[in-house]
Amino acid sequence: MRFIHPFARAGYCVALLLVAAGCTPSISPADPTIIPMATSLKADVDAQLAQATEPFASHADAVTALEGRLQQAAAKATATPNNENAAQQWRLMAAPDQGLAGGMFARWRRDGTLSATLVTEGRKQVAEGFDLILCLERNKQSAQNCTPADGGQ
Amino acid sequence: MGDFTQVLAQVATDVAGLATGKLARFKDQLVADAEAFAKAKQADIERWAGLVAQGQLSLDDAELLALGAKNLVQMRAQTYAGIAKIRLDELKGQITSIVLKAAIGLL
Repeated sequence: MRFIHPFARAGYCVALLLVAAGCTPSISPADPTIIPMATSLKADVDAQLAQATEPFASHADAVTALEGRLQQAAAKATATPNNENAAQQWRLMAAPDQGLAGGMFARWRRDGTLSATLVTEGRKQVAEGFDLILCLERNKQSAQNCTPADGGQ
Repeated sequence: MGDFTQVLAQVATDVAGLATGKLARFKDQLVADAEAFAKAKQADIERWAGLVAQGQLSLDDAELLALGAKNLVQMRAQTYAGIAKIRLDELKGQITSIVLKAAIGLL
């Protein structure tokens, strides 16, 4: 073993400590359950919103179940350490006082029916929001360019 | 001592190469993406205003859609921020590898 000056040895140890400290991930690792769950919710929410020109009362149970799944997804993302970016996305998607899935369902419940134009435009935006959630999760698995201006995917 | 200084210089060069390569390309991509997205949303809002004027969309509904567009901007920012963290973690892993290889070379 070659001679290493004590100052160099100390610097070497400090560098290793810094590297070790830097090894803590700043974002949660990929969870293999998230992408299938988000993909399934995206399809189910879209199918439900497609019927929002019909009276809400006929779909109340199904909508309530979907709202529950959205809230569960938001709660799960919020409870995951180092996952604030995804958690914020899920909260925006689920919140009844915002303009995505939760907001569209709340409006349907309030008004009884939605106009065909609102349904068409709202479905596009909700799908785009799910694509953004999926984009972040897919990038946790491997680098992907999935955020073009049209929403990706 | 000379060896250690040379190793540090090599580590610094390798790390700088990583930062100006991958991270710079990532930043350029994000800027282009954000600009394209802003244009697309502006076009959507103008189209909804036209639908309101034609009576095909109520003002209340247009406001809900505009709130949704704002939410998408917020969600997109979270996607960017999350991917940036992923890239930085990858970079940290590569730096760790560079430093460890250099350290092993010193022993």
